[in-house]
Amino acid sequence: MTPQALETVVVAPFANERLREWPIGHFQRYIELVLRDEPARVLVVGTRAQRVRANALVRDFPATRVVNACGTMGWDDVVTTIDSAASVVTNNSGIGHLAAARGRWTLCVFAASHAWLEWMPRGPRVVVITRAVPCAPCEIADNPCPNAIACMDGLAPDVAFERFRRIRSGDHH
Amino acid sequence: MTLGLGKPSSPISLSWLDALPAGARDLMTFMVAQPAVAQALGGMPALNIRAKGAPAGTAPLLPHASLIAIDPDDPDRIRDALHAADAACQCILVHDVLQRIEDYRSFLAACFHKLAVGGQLIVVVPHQFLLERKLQVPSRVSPTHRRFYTPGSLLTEIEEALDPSEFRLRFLADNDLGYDYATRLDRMPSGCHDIVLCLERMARPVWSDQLANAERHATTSKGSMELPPVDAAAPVYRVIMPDHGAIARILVLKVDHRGDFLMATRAFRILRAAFPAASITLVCGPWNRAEAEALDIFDRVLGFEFFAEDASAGVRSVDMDEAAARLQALLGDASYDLAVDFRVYDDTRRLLRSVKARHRAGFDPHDRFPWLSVRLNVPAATQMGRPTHLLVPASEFQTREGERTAADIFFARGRRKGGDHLAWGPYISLRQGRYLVELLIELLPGARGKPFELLYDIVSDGATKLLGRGRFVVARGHHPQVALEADEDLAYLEWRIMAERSKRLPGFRFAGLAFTRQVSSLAVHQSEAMALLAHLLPIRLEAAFNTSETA
Repeated sequence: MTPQALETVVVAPFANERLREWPIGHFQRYIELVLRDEPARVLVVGTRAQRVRANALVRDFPATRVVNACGTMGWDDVVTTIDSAASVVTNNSGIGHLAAARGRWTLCVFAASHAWLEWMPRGPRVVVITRAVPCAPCEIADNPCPNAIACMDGLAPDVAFERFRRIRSGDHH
Repeated sequence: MTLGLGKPSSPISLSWLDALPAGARDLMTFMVAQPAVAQALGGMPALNIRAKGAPAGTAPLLPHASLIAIDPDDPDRIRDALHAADAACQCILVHDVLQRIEDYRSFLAACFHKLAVGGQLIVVVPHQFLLERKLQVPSRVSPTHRRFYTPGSLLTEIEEALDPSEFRLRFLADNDLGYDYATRLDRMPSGCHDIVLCLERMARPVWSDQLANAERHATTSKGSMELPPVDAAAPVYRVIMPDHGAIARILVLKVDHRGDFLMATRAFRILRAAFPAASITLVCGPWNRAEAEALDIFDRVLGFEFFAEDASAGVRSVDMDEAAARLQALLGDASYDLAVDFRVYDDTRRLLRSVKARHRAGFDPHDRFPWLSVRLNVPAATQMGRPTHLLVPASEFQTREGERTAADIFFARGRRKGGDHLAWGPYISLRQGRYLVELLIELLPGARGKPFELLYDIVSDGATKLLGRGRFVVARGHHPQVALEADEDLAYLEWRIMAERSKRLPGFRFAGLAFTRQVSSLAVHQSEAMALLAHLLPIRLEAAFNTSETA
């Protein structure tokens, strides 16, 4: 398979609140599954300030399949990239809303800090996955979480990947 | 000339340099002139990694190094070659290779992990603006050059490939020794044209693994006053997924009275405009049927008696199960893509739930109908803004200073002996709203009429929320008043009345508190509320979704 034949999966692992971010290790596992099962390369997007954190995400993957694009694109470039992406994986963040609005298949791993019905990205190809926890929505922002951020740390990447894959293939069960 | 060859015992001698091909000799001359690099080059054991077929020749640059010549197009063999190489190297020199390798990240990581702690990795690549002199690939020098480098882009790849807490950069510079800047672009320039980078492998700091989570603020302390605990052992996932079904069949419920129906007309028109091709069935009171048909909005109008047409004729109790059964009988086996109940009050939601529909929509100001897929929370001022008056007698308060009678607490003239807290209570719940609280405190007959001040504070929810504190003036002829804003329902409300310590007070009587909830004007007109719901439907259903919960 030549690199040119690969689809692009955009991964946006950052958010304005750290509490809303899936752990980097979960994103790494998700990328592993993409590389294993999909003819895709992964493009990690974010700001220049987030580049060093993204380095930790991409470091263990081949540069031929996983690219750290943080800080290399303006917003217009990001829009163009999203438009051509096979799917987009995000937290509850601006890129999620962008991908949803552009009609791309979007997986949003949604922290329980916010009410999903109020804040989730909306679009015809959006899948939102969240832990149904009794403490949601907490809106504790950057304060300590008494539940050790179970809503995100306990949101298994294998489950998210599999549910997203099945829904995209038309299996909603 | 010593060329800064590091330690006297350095294996790189002048005679070794003289024996190198011209280009390689100039590069080595530059490197050994840099103390940090020269010291690194002398480390042993050493590895010299070259690319097969590179123009600099096949001879090693270091006399004491093992030479690995790799095929840049064969990542498997690169990996195998590095795997087989000596571990714990003190020096690894990667010369004229990196720009030829597609997966630079894995290659750099593999080289780095062959270093001992304290060992040095030296990377030499051609400079974009010395050798290539071109703004982007393809290379004018070699088709095997996949990328161009500046010091910045080289360092970018290094930081991407290697954990920054595990290395320190010791040297980074352009090498233009003997370079001829006058050479035209279509000619090969003479002289050195490299970037030289040298880094040292460090022991991984103990804090390195903590960096990723250092700002996530998680705490493992269990339990919280404000957040219920999570059972981490039994995760439940909620998945919200797209519903791509069309909205072709709509059922509208509007079963209340004539005025209610007329106020819904705008909402009906909005709904029809939003779903012009849909088949819309209206279920309304039989008395509104002719009016509904005259609107020319609905494909079908069905009369259904739920309320009495004339409510003034007497209260009629409604058996909800019976009414739901009658509605089901009226609709038969019909199922709908959307069923919407336009009654603002929630007493007809039971009917809506009995309808077979993929999506159900209605008002839910009290969060009672989670099964609605479209819920609109619009305050109904008549129900929710109702003023209330609540008299809480002194018997609901506690005191140590006062003397109780059946209804009141009396405080004698003088200084307080037992402390500054006069009375506290009544530990009641209070609905959200704005209150004016009258403190039923009066000077005793015969007491001097000079006004005096008392203090108060108000807390709720087990004293976790402070709602207010301050002073009020007690004077003959009127009761002091305090405004209380409850922005949410309150539980276990405590009101404390206090005197300033050691202050002499006249005798007075405390009869309790009178709470008056102010009228709320937080509402929209019924017709506007229904129009808002009608507008919400296409917005929500344009990207409709379903939810599921699974373990």
